Amino acid sequence: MNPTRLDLIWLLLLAATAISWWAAEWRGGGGVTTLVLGLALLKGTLVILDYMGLRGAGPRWRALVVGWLVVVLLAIGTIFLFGAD
Amino acid sequence: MLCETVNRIQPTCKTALPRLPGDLAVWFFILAELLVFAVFFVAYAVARSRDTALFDTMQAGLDRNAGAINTVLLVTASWCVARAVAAAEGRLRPATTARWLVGAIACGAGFTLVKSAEYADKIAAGVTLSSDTFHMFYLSLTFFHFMHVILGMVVLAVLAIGSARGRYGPGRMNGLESGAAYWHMVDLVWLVLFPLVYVLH
Repeated sequence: MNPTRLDLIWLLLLAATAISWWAAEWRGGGGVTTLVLGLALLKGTLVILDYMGLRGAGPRWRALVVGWLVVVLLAIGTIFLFGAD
Repeated sequence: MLCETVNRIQPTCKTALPRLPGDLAVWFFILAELLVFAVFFVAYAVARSRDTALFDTMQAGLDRNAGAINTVLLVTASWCVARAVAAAEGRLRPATTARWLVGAIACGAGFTLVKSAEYADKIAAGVTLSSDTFHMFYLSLTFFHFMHVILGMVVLAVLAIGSARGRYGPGRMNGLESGAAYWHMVDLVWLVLFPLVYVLH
């Protein structure tokens, strides 16, 4: 993996973390929930594909691990947005 | 399979073939761990949906800055590990790979210090597993992850020693890639845990 690409991804991960940090203070309800989970999807996908190295693995392994992330975040989002008492 | 035919004439094609980094067994272990964390995360979300007022009040008592600093530390540790793998693959000096791994261990150690300070505050405030549903989840979920960070640091220490001795390089990446994949899994889980427990309300 090209080191410059790894550095750029690190900066992206830091930027996304900073946004989630600030977003916790915003009063946006469902919008903020969607944004924060979207950022988690972006960060997680970058870690899976570029740091774990699954970008170069077979499509089934990629689908399995990225699929885990998508299912978990969708479940959390659905319960937070529609499951509250 | 066209690629393999071409491969005889054009050896560069080999790098384009799909390849799972590290040991297959480590990936099965990673999948099992991810499943356990997924169950934990969904259980947290369901428990919260049954008592959002309690969860939101108790969450406000968490140190969100500590959680964000720990996210930065784990993300930086993952970056160091990725650079260590790239250094070994790129035939850089063994000391370079080892130095990146030591950087990752330092970030991991920083994470455990920040988390320990958080636990110390909670314990001083009299919080236990049986205080309330939120803290039962907060303590068990984060401590389960904490133990993974500790194990990850042990793995990285073994890899750092091996790297310093020149054990890893092109064609000899299995151990380093396997340990790296485990560490990234620990980071990946935190990237879901942090927004779920510290941010969303």
